[in-house]
Amino acid sequence: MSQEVMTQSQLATLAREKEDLAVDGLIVRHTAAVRLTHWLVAIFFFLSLFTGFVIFTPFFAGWASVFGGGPMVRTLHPWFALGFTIAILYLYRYWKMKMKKEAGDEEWKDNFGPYIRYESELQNVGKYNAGQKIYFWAVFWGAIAFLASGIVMWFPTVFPYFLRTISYWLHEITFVAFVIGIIYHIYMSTTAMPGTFRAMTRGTVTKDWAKWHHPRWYREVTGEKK
Amino acid sequence: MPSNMELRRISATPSPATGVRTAPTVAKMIDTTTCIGCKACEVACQEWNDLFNADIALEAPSEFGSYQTMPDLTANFWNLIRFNEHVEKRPDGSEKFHWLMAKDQCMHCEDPGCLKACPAPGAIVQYTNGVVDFQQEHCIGCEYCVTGCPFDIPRLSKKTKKVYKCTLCTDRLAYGLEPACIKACPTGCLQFGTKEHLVQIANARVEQLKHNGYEKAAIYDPPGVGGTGVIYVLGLGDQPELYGLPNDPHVPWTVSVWKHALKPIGSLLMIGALLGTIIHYVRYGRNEAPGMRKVDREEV
Repeated sequence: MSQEVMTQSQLATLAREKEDLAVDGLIVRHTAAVRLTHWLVAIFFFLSLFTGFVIFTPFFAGWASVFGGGPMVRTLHPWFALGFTIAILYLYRYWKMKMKKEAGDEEWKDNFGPYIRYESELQNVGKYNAGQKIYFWAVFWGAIAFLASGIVMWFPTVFPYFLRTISYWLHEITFVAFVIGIIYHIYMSTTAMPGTFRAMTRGTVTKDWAKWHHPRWYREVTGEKK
Repeated sequence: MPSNMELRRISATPSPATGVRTAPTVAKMIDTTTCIGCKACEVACQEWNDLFNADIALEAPSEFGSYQTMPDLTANFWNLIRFNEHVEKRPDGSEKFHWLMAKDQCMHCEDPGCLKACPAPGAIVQYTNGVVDFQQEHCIGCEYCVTGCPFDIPRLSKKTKKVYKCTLCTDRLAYGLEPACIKACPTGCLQFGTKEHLVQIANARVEQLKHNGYEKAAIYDPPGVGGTGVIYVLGLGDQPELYGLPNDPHVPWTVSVWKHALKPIGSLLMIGALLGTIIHYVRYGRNEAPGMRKVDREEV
């Protein structure tokens, strides 16, 4: 690219369509389409989560008033969830190839302990580490479990009794797994790892960040040897 | 709710119910052996509760091969006499046809599965006199109660998206009147009173039936749901399923595990995850790329 320093708006234009591109001190990590899809997933997820919490426990029954009362929560929740499912399908379209298993993933999994203690300095980590890939596939299959059980719960009396009870359990277990997942997803992408969140806002990360968290991806993008 | 009706249980409400005054548990007794299938109780129920409307005519198929008024209970038909057809095989090889009349309606369980399953605070209540009642203004229409009920009683109204069932004429009881169905019964097969008193009457009737040749006559007051506010005298008491009644009803174990195990364990795990991030942050802090400029940290 040009040797001149780009303005923020020029960079933003570039980050709209192309990713894995190094410009000045930054690397474009996500195109605008991926970011927008991810935000749609996030918005529909939180709408479904907050309406779901109202039905999950009476301790959050008060949140119903935010959505226009209990009956509105019951009406809206499946539609929010449908929005979430569709957004997830788009994310799947963008990421299904990128989230495939590759060399280095096993090594990453073996180093999970050091990773959470910030002691791991693995060099063979690509654009997404094995943990991110596992998280993506867990979300994808979790969304399918939510959808399957959710349809039964949307129209319970249409389905046989045993399917209903299975669905209540499946929806409940998936819900708990998703809440635990989102807590760590947000913690790791904001507080725990500074410089990560901008990948979902501006679409760019710094070269320092990329070199530290995703060294192989950094080498691939910049062409540097080490 | 009339002011003299206090609450023993409230759905989806962690704090105690409001009732402090004691009240005797009330019950209906249905002697199936003296029911003649006149359907006066059905009419009385529809009349008192102002349920009679054109929807019922639309919901009821014109022919479904039975003398019953309706094939099943609906959101605006809370009391159905089931004309259960039974062919008795006699020892001499001959067969005799019987109608095993059964009054199908809410059983007002002592341990109500609907109330346990309900996620909407105050949508299902149990009064201190044992009557289980739906408060439609708090109902969200999720139909969890339909899955929680071991007798398959609650029905969702397509119009209002709320569930409905027999109220045991709460609005009559509050003023010292008996339920409308009891008032209308011409044979005395329906009786209303305190549960204690009616169990005595039912037991006496069972003895009488046994003496008259119904050797298997029995009272139906299933202990699996803590007893019910509607008790039956059954001529063929060893086979309640012939009357459309479950043999040994319980609050479904799947609902109990869901509400009493999955939810609390799940809640603890979620709180644990939140605490986990705090502990991790305090112990390990941030994973910051070396050489990151200060501006990188501030930019979002």
